[in-house]
Amino acid sequence: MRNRVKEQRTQRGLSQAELAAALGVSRQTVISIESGRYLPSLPLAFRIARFFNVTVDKTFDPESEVPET
Amino acid sequence: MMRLSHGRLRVPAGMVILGTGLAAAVLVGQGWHNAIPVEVVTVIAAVGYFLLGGLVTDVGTIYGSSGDERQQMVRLRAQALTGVVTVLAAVIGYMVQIARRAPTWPFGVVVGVAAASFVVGLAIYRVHDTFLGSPGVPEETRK
Repeated sequence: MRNRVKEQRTQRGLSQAELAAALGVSRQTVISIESGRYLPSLPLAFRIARFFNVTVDKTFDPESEVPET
Repeated sequence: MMRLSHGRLRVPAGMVILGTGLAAAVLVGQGWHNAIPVEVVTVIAAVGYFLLGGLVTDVGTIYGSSGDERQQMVRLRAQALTGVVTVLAAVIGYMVQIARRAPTWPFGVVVGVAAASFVVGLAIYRVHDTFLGSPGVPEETRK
């Protein structure tokens, strides 16, 4: 599942560590979410969306796949 | 970078308690000259575990019994793998003991306890959907 977390974070000029602190997770988890290696739980997905002041479907797109690296 | 969290002492303390119990058993069965090394190794392992738990990395948070939902999931999967490997080792040990015509009951106990734990786990967690502290459990439920 593709997501726009990295894009939304950089638009706000935040580092991964700052976003992690704001969400109450580790920086490694932010990295994993941004790279698509980890799908957050529903509560965390909502926290992320609320933090960026968007809806969940604006952040996470279930229709698209993260390309294999 | 190191940090100190509340649950960080839990596993090392458990290691010391179990290791001391083992050392006591060795003391009774084999004498102090064998018991002292067991206790020393126990303390070294517990201190090492405690220090690893202070690292601000995925591994550190897992050893430190803390972490966010992803790290809890990693710990959960590692524990599940540990359980599966332990049962497989016990089954292999059981078969080897049969072939050697040696007592099989220690391995049988391990397999039996594992099977019973699995059934109990299914009964408990099916009712509660998932266990407390796992990802997906509402915050108010965890308290």
